[in-house]
This record gives sequence, C-alpha cells and structure tokens, in this order.
Amino acid sequence: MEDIDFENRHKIINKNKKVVMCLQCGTCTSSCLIPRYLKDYNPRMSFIHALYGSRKAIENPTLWACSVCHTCQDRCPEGVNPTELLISLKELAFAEGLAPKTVAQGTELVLSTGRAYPASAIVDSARERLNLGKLRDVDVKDLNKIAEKTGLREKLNKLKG
Amino acid sequence: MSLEKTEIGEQIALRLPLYVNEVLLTLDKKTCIKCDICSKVCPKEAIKVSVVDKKLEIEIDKDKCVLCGVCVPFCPVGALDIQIDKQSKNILTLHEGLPTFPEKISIDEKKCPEDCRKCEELCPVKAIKVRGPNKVEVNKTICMRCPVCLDSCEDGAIIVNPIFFGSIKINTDKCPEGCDLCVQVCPTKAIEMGEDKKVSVKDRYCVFCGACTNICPEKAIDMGRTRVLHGEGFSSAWNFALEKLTSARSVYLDQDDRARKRLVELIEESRVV
Amino acid sequence: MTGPDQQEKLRIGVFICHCGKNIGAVVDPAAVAEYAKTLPDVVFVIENLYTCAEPGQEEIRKAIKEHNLNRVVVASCSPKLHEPTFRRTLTEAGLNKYLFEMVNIREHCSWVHMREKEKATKKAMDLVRMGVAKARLLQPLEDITVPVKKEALVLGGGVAGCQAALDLADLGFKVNLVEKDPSIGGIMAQLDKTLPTMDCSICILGPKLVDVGKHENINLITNAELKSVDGFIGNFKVKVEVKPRYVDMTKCNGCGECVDVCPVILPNQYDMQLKPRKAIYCSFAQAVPLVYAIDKDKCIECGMCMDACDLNAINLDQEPQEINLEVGTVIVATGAEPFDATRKEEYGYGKLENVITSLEFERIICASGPTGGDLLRRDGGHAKKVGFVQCVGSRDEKCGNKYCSSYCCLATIKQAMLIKEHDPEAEIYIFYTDIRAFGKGYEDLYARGREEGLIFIRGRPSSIKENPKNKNPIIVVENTLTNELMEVEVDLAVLAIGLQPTEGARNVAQMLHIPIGADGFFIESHPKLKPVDTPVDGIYICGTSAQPRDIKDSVTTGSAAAARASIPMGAGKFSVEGITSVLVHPEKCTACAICTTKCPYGAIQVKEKGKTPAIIIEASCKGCGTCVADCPFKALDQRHFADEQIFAQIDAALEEDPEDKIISFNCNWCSYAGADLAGVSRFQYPTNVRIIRVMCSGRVSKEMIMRAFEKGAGMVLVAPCHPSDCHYISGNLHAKNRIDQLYKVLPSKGIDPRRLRLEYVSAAEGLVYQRLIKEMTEQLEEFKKQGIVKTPVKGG
Repeated sequence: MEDIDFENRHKIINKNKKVVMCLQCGTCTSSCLIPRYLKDYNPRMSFIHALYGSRKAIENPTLWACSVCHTCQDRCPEGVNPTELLISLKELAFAEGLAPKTVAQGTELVLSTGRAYPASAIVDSARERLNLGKLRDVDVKDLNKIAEKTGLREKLNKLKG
Repeated sequence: MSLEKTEIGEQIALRLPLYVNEVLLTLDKKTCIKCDICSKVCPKEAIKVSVVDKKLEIEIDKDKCVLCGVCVPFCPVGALDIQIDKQSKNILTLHEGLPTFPEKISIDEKKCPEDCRKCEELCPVKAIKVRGPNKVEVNKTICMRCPVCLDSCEDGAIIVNPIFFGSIKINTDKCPEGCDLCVQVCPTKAIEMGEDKKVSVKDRYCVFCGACTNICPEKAIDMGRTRVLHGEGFSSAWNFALEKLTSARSVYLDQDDRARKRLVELIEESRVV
Repeated sequence: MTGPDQQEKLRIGVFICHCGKNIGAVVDPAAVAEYAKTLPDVVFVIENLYTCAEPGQEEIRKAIKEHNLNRVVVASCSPKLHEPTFRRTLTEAGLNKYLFEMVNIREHCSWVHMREKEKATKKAMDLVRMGVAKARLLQPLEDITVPVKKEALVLGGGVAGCQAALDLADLGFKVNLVEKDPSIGGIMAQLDKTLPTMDCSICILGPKLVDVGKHENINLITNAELKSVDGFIGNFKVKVEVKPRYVDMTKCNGCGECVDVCPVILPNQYDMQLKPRKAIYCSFAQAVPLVYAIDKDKCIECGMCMDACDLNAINLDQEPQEINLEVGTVIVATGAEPFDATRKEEYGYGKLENVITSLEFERIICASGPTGGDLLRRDGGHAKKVGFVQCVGSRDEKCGNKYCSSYCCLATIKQAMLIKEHDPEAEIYIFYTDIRAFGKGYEDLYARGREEGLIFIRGRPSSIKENPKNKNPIIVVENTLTNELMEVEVDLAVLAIGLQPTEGARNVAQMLHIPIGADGFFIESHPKLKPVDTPVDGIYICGTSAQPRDIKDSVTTGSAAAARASIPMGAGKFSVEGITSVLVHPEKCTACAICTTKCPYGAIQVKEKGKTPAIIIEASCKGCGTCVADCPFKALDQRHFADEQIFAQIDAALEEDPEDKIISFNCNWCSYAGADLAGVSRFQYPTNVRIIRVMCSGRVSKEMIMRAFEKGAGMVLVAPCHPSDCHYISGNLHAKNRIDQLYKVLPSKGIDPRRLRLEYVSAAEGLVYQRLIKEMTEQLEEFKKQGIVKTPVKGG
C-alpha cells in the first residue's frame, strides 16, 4: 500500500469532520439495501479509503449506486454521517470529472428543461385523459446563471469530455 | 407488567408468557351468558360487562387481571378456564380457598319412561340429550341449575341443585315501550313478554345470574341474592366474592352458619364414645 | 477583616512553576518571574521545575524563613489540585495557610494556549499580577473543626455496597446498609458464573451476603429508599422510608409454606421475568434477609398465605416506616441498570422470541433458572447454534450511550465457554467490533475461547431477522475482515447488553448534592487520584454507580470507599474551611432578613426581623457567599473571598488593554473545574479570558460586574453550575436573578447588555467552556469593530 495521502485525507476531512470517527464496524454496509442488487457495493470500504486519502475513495464507480435511503446514517453508532459523506465523495469525484455519464445527462436535463424526468408525448396524452392541463414550461434562465456562477457548468463540461 | 391478550374468534385469551412456563386464562364468549357473576367476584375488578348496540359484551382488562382464578369456579356456564403449563388448574380451589358447589343436576335414568323426551324438549339451554331408552346425556357445564327439567319430569327422575337464592322484581312502569331486551338475554327463558306487551318473570325459573340487570337500560329490574349454597372451603377471597354477590348481612349469616357447623363438628369430636 | 494588617509590612514571595514542560514549553517562566519582581510588595521571586514536589516545597519553606515572607503566591497548576498541598507547606513553615494564593497558569493558560506562547506568557503575567493583588489583602484565618460520628450509611446492597459495609464494620464502625429491593445481592446474585475463573457467582457472593446480615455492626435495612439527606460531613441527618413487605421480619423464617397456596402467578424480576413467582415471594433461595415479601399491587388479599403461615408472620396492614439516621459519612453504591434492549429496535428484542439479552442468558444457563440450566429456546428446542451480538447499548451514540461498558466482551466469551462446557458440539459465533480483554486473566480466557473453537466475526450486525418457519433469528452482518455480507441463521441470538445509570440516580444526586456526568453516572473528584471521592466531603461513590465495571473493580472501589470514609470517622473530626460568611459591618445590618432567604443551609439567621442583626452559624456555613452578594446594605462579607480582594483581582486583570479582556467569574465546583478540564483535555481557546475564582456563582455581586465594566472590560462572563446542579443548591439561581436584573440596568449605563453573559458550564463541560470562550472572543472582536466596546481614553 502506498503511504497515506495527507492532502487528500485532509480535503475529505475538512468537508466531513466526523469521518475520523469511523471504526469500520460494518453497520453501514450490512444495513445497506444496494448490495442485494449490486454485489461488492461496500460503503465501509469507501470510508476507509477516504480516511487514508486514497484515490480509490472517489475513483470507485460503485460510489454512485447509493440511493440516499439514509438507513446507514440512521444506524451508524459513531455518528459518522455516512450518507452525507458519500455525497461529499460524489461531489469531489464530480469535480474531477469522475462521474458516470448518466449523472451528466441527468444534470443537463434539469438545466435544460427544469425537470428531473423528461416530459414526453406519453405524459402529455395521459394528462389529457385525466383532464389535467398541459405541463407548463419552466424558465431555466436563472438556473443556468447559477450553474455558471457556481462552477457547475464548468464541471459538467469537463465531464462531458 | 401486563399480560398478552389475544382475541381469536369468540375466545379471549390472557397469557402470562414465562420462558418455559405459561399461565393462560381463556373466556369463551360464545358460551358466556354475560351474567354479572364473574365481574362481581373478581378481586381486581378486571372484568366488565357492558351494553354495546343493545347487545351485552364482556371485556377483561389485561392490566388488572392477575390470573388468580377466583372467577373460574363461579362461572355458571364454565366459560372461564385457567391453564397452568397447559393443564387446567385452580390453585385456590386446590387448597380449599374457595368452596365447592353442589352437583348441578343428576338424572336417575332408570326412572325414565320409554320415549320420553320432555326434559330434552323443555331445557332452555339444550343441555339434555336423550340418546336412547334409559340413556340420558347431560352437558353439566352449560346446565343453568334451573328447575325446568325437574318440573317437567313426572317420574321424579331429576334432582337439580340451585346455588343462588334471592328475589327478583321487574318494575314494568320503567320499561320503555316494546322493549324486550331482558327477554332476549335471560338464559333460562324465565322472563317473557305477555300479550299486554309487558314483561314478567317466572320467579321459579330465575337462577339469579344477573344478565337481565346488565342489559336493562332503565335499571328497571331489582335482583338481589340473599344466600349462596356451597360446600367446604374458605378464604378472604370467598368472603369478598360472597359480599359482592349478596350483601354484608348475607356474609354474616353465612359465617354464622359456618360457625354453627364447626361447633357441631367440635361437639361430635369431643363426644366420648 | 479586610485591609492589610497595619502593624506588619507586606513581604510577598512569588514562586513560578515550570511543571516540567507543561508550563515551561509554552509560558516563559523566566519572563514571568522577572515581571513578578516588579510588583509592589514582592520581595522574593524564584522559578521551580516542580513546585509541588518535595524540593519545590522545601524552597518555599526555606524562603518563608529566610526572607521573612508573610504572603505566598504560587503560579502553577489548578488550586483544585494542589492548593491543599501548598497550604500544608505554609503550615509547616509556621505561616497561616490562608495567607496563600494560587495562580493557575497551567490548566487556564499553558495548556489552553499551546500555540500562542507570547500571548500566553503575557496572560500568565496578568494572572500573577491578579494573584499578588489578592494576596496583598489576605488575612490569616482559622478552620472550624466539626466532630465526625463513627457511623456510616451505605446506599445499595450489591457486591460493592456489601464490600464497603463489611470493611467499615470490620474496622469497628456502625454501618447502616439501605437497599431498595427486598434482598441484597444486586446483579452479581443473578449471574451464573464469574469470569475469568468460572466460579459460581452466588456461591462466592452468598457467604458475603450472610456476613452482612449477621454482622453486629451492620444495620441492614431492606425494601427501603432514601428520602432526604441534610447536614454535612460528620453529621448527616438521613431520612429513609422502609416500604412495607406485609410480612413481619421478626417472625418469618423463610419456610415458604405461603408460596404454594398463593393463587397469583407473576414473573420473577430476579429471573429477568423468565421464571414464575407468586404474589408472596422471596427473590431467590440465598436471599438476605431470608424473609418473604408481598407484591401488594397484585395481591388479591385472599388470605390463603395467612392461613398457611404457622408463625403468623403475615400482616397485610403494614404501613411504610420512616427511619431517621445520623451518620458521619455516606457511601453511594446504588449500581446501574442493564440496558433496555427494546431501544435497539433493529435487533428485534421483545418481538422475536429467540432474541434474548445476556442477563436473560445468565438466568437460563444457571441451574436455578427457568430451564434448570439447559440451553433451551422458548419453544423447548435445544439451542445448538448461538450468535452473540456485542456492544448492544454501548459505544452507540444512537442509543445515547457513547461509553464502553467494559465487561461485556469477556462476559460473552465466558457465556460461550459455558455453552461449550455443556455441549462441546455447539456452534458459537461472536459478532464484535473490538475485543476488550483488559483485566487479569482476561486475555487468557480469550485465548481459551479461540482454542475451544469459538468463531469470531468482526462486524457489528445491522439487524436481526427471523426465519418464519422455525423462528430462528437471522443475524445480518458484514464480515469486515473478509468484506463479505453474511446472513447467519442461528437457534438463539444473545445481545451483549451494557449498563446504564439507574432511574433514581438523578434523584440521589440531587439529595446528596453530588454531580452527575454527561453519561448519567456519578462523577468522582478526580478520575485518577480520587476515584471514589465526590466533591462533597464525607460522601463517596463506588461500584457501577460511577461507571460500568466488572465485579473485581466494583469490589475494589467498595473497599476503597470504605477506606476513604474511615479516615474522617477514624479521626473523629473534620476541619471545615474558614472561608465563611461574616457580619463585618453590624452597624449597617437592618435585620431585613433578605440574607436568610438566600441561604439553603439555614446558616444565617435573623431572630427578630427588623430588630436583631443577622447571626452566622459557622459550622453550617458552606462558604458560598450568596448572602454576601445579595445584602443590600453591604453589611456582610466573605472570608478569603472578600469584596475588596475580588475587586483587587478585577482591577489587576484590567490594568492593560481592558477592552481586549473577558473577565470570567468561575465557580469552584463547576465552571472552574470545567475550565480545568478544558486544560487537561488541551482544548485550545483564545487568550483574552481572565478567570476569577469564586466558591459559588452566587458570590458574584452586581457591584463586581459593574466594577469590571467600569474598568473597561470588553466582556464579562458569569459561569454558574447548571440549574439543578449547584454545589450550594441555589447559589446559581440567585446569581441568575441578579444578572437578569442587571441586564435591565446596563443600557442606561451605556453598556450593551450583550457584553454580559451568563452561561452554565459544568465540571464535565471542558468542551463547552472552550467553545464559549471562542465564541465570546469572536463576538468581542465584532463589538470592538462596531465601536460597542471602546478603548478607554488614556488618563480618563
């Protein structure tokens, strides 16, 4: 194993003070719903990699499988806040362009339509049948301004390659 | 620490679940005639009979019941049972803390005439079944100790032992018009609605169960027990139950009775032979 | 009483301690010493490496003699640690011990400003100046000696309480042992075997219990609870309420004839509700006293037991009885409660029938338990595969218990070994996060466990499910050593539960005025050096009432508490500090009797309101100073914490750059100790604060606070104990009232009320004090920027 990468480690700790409390007890991984569907999904391993400043913490593609159900956060006996920690790791990964294409696509969808799920012809006709009005258009001008100013647009472009 | 209560079908069960031991009280609501006896004798006032939608309902409070078993021998229809480790057992009666009651009914089958089914036909609770010539079966658990069958038998084959003595009077001026709730609940059919649309009670067939007093919405029925016929066995639990069923004076008389009996015993014992 | 002695000229000696590197590496002792030489009336200054050590003390004695010193200032650690040490040094040198002032430049300076050496040194100089300013005004005082009754009260009859009681009784003291249950024995009586030797628990405890019951010096009071405690060391007046057993203790011989005839069957608490008992019962066969008791709540008063009892021992009309005791010392051994495993919902305890706790396991595996010692499940089946889950209710912030309960790792291994003894083919899994084998023989038992084939899986189970077909528990866990998720189906799951404070602990603490920590257990005076003392003289704690412990440590602390209690009782007397209240200006006293309403001890009395001046009963006076601060006519003052002395400290603190300073009035028992703890824990905070020690926040008068503001203080902090925790019962409440009144008046004096803060800080809250000072310093900077705090005009 390489040495501990203190710079990386401190970067992660500064974003999540409580990560240093992790005892690697495994409550999070055994509470998690995802391993049922994705073998080898292991949040505990992400946390030990994070503590050692290892690149594996953010390069691991399974990082993105977390469904943010908060079961681990509910149960962690040391108060590590694992859900928030995983979100932080995702943020760090995203900043380096290390996120799945679907993340870029999803974000782009929100920035262009203002919606997380696309409005399609099927949706329109269903709404008509149910006597609901048409979905109104969302004004995304301000949203895109925010994306520019916060650097989200830049990170997104980096991701799209 | 309260008991586990389950209500499956027509049975209420109160269970004390220990690790290997178990104490279980069961109340068969189908057999239960919703009289007022168990609720009166319970030392913890855990049993309640109430009127819901013009019907009588019985409830046991699992926080108050201590599974002492006082109620079990008093139930006129044997609807209550306590099982300790799956065996019916009553600690109080075992140690003579409660008296035994005289046998409900005995039928001398030899005296039955052929093809006579009068007792079977007339029994208000269908406790008697004539199975064949000189073969009569009695469900002694549900027998109400009323003299209906005794009165019907011209051959003197039946002996019935009631245990409650007292008086009952219905103040019909309090009755709501057309109300016949008491008629519906009386287990011995001792109350009937006359042609004048007024109810009346056949004293002789009243077994002083108290179901009618429970359901009467206008408290029109005065029912009081004055004596309870019983065998050996005594404790404060019995005293308390007796007072609740009858009155303080009746308890005094009962104790007087007991004292007199004991005196007679002592005299017998000391008699020089 | 105040003001320097007119006859003699002041000759103050100042001793600056390095404390090795503790002070020396941060504060520059040489610079502070040089500075001290410049202070008025200081005639002798020296630096020491370790002032508290014998050479250091010898220096002081020598200096007093050679330089004719009549006041001594030591700048070193917290007075809560070594004030008594140095006071003794002065006495040995022939100087009155109250002519000594201690300056805290370690816990309150070098340890909390480790990265700001220059500022720390400057602060140390300020603190020394403050100390010398007070020393100048110190007067010789005499302690008050009170007699100590050679009789003790031990609260709690578990193994710790029994040990303490036996030790004291063997030493010749009379002991009253009060136990709330009908029998003594506690949790140890419920265990099957003890570790690491696998001794039968009740076999080794039983004889001790019998000894307690038989000892001529022990008055055993069972089925009783503490109602109230008044008084002070040497003379505690205790009220105990004995709850009725409804059985005459002088008649019952424990024959048990009553049990057979009782119709009411209930779960037996001693057997963790797994085995039946009757409404009339004796908890267990080896109970002491071996006398039955009736659970009146469930009793139907059938009288069958009365008929069965040949000795006529049953009396259903028994009333509660109040007993009054007068004792010299109190030992608290009230124990702890097992963690309620229903609080850990994920493990299904209480819902899944084959999930049990470790204490229930003890009863099941014990021959006197519900199964006669067979490892049976509720359905009667033999349990061959058993899974133990560790750390249930311990090391778990979600359950509110962050501490480790210490004994459970080895207790589980012991239980696993017991199973293997009965059934060598049994499959046993232990799901752990760490194995703590700290005690003697513990590591050996752990090794033997591995030799016997126990399977250790490192992972904290997240939940326990149930196989609906056979009700087998399924333990869901990640094996962190192999990175594999496992669902282990077992016949029986045992939760290794920890201990938590008893429900009545808070109540006992309030009655005795002893502190409780953040975890709910009683706090000892010092975690290392005074493990069984409490801040209240004459009251000691032992056993699991102070922290989760194994039997060995409970017995050890029980004996320790007995030893500590025997010191004042053996001497027959105890000295009360002479820092009492005094009517210094009787001519000013109008007998308004306001002071009498402030004193919770009845130590100041006015016989006739409006007529006779106040009288102080010195032996009852605890020296809090609350009456002094609230006297509207300033007729009262406190010895050794006089108005003049405290004003001198305030003035000295604010001599330079007052607008940068936060004057913090800390009470001796809570916030001063809290600030000490911040130091011990090395919690760092800015150097602006200058702490002034008072015995109680109740001593802090409006005049003191106004003095600080008048001298230009940036901010003032008064830090009392938490509302129900005041060492002097109500001093903090009176302090709060005073400050609330002051808030209304401050704006009219041109002072922003936000510059005055009242914040509760307990002895356990080092972290809170650190955060508070950081926050106040930030606020002070803001105030300075906004001009709310102004630099005083020089010469104005």
